[in-house]
Amino acid sequence: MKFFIALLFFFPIFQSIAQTTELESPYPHGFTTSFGRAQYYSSLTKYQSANYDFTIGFGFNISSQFLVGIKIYTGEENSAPGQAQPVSGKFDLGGGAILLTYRLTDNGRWRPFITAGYELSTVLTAAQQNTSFGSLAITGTSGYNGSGLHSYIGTEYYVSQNFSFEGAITYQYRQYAGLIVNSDNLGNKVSLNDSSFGIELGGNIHFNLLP
Amino acid sequence: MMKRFPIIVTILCSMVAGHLHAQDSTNIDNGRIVLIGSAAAATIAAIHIYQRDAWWQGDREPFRFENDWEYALNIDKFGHTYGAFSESKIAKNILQWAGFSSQASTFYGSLTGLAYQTYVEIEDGYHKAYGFSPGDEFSNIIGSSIPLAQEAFPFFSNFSLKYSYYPSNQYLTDLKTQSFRVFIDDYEGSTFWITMDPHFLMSKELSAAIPKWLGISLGLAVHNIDETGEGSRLYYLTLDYNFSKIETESNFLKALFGAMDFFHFPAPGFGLEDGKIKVGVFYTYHTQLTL
Repeated sequence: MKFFIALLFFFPIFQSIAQTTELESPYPHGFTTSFGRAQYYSSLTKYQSANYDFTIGFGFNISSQFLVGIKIYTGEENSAPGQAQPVSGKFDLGGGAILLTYRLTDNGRWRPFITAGYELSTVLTAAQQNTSFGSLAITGTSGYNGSGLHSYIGTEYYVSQNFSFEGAITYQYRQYAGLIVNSDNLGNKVSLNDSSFGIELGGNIHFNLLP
Repeated sequence: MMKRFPIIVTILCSMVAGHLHAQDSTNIDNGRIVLIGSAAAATIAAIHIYQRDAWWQGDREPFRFENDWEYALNIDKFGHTYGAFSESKIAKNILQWAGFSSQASTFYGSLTGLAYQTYVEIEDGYHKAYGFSPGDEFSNIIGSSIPLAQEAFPFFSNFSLKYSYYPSNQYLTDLKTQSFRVFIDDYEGSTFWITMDPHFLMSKELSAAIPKWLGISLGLAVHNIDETGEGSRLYYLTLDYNFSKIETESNFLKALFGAMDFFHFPAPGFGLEDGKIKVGVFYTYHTQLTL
């Protein structure tokens, strides 16, 4: 909810950005900075409890249809109510991905896109007690490295050539390899797979500043 | 994955370089380009060695992320934003000096600022005590995007980021016991400022009556912080000086004023700490003069 309130708060600024330039084609070109929030459901929590993350990205438009860049995210996962395995407790989630986006069209305000990328991520447990990850009981803060696929399918809506809103369905598949840090179980390993589905809403500022 | 990172960066740089081809090279001074390249290589090597000794000593481990949103009451995030912003601006100014257009300088300046800050964050990712902080990288991206926004949307040129510093007592004590302590990690000695040139909000008459170089700023400092995220924040609302708005024909003074605009100097205003408003002259927490 706070995110949407923030969007409303910043809307006049977005609007002022939108009014500074006229629509020209092809665009965008140069750099794009993006921000957003995703709400998603994970197999680790039996698709029962909603998790979220915030993202910010920075990319380069190879052409008006291809965008390559990085996206960094930070968020939180909660286990399903009463769940003991394969995970239980509350987890901080952090990570980053290298992504390639293809816009199906470079004309008009609506521009559907597909994005695929390679992701690195770490789950950090934040629960104080009765927390487990795979077969390991966890105390304190522990970290688990993961990597996997990150994909989006959605659309941008261009308010101007410099700013667009974005909505997408996300799918992520991660394999946690079980690096454990800052924990009593240091050195032990677990291996888990995690599939998650969700939706993401956000915006993109396109800096059309190619030399 | 991280072993492939240099390859990915090389590919990205190649794609950017492809667009460089479109840059009008008429005004580019080749001698200055060689000078900049040499100085940049030497500076990067020197900074890397310094940071390796100051931050990255000790155990390394496989790359990992580490969320640290509570750390130092978030003032380190302002530090990352300011760092990326100032590095991008400095790189932009140097490229402009070499003859690149304003657009091209901004473009490559921001890329340089973000690339350097990201490299530091990746190195942190391999260190046992740190980890790659998504929050820090969020801030790096925002900081390096600001010059782009200022170039693309003139409205944002009315705003800037500044820094003021005076060593805290804790830092001076640590210097006596630790072989390496980096001043940019001395958060209690640092204040970060968002500045605004208010003339764009004023009528012509009012704007003419107020010196062009006078602005206002909003500052943030922290005090009594510890590892658990405890401590107190201090907020300041003060006047600010935009030295580069002072008209001069001297190139030396222009360069000096431009450099001074990265910093906030002592200025009168208000401070807010623990719900109490103070009036005085503010620079950093340890140097403020209040009534």
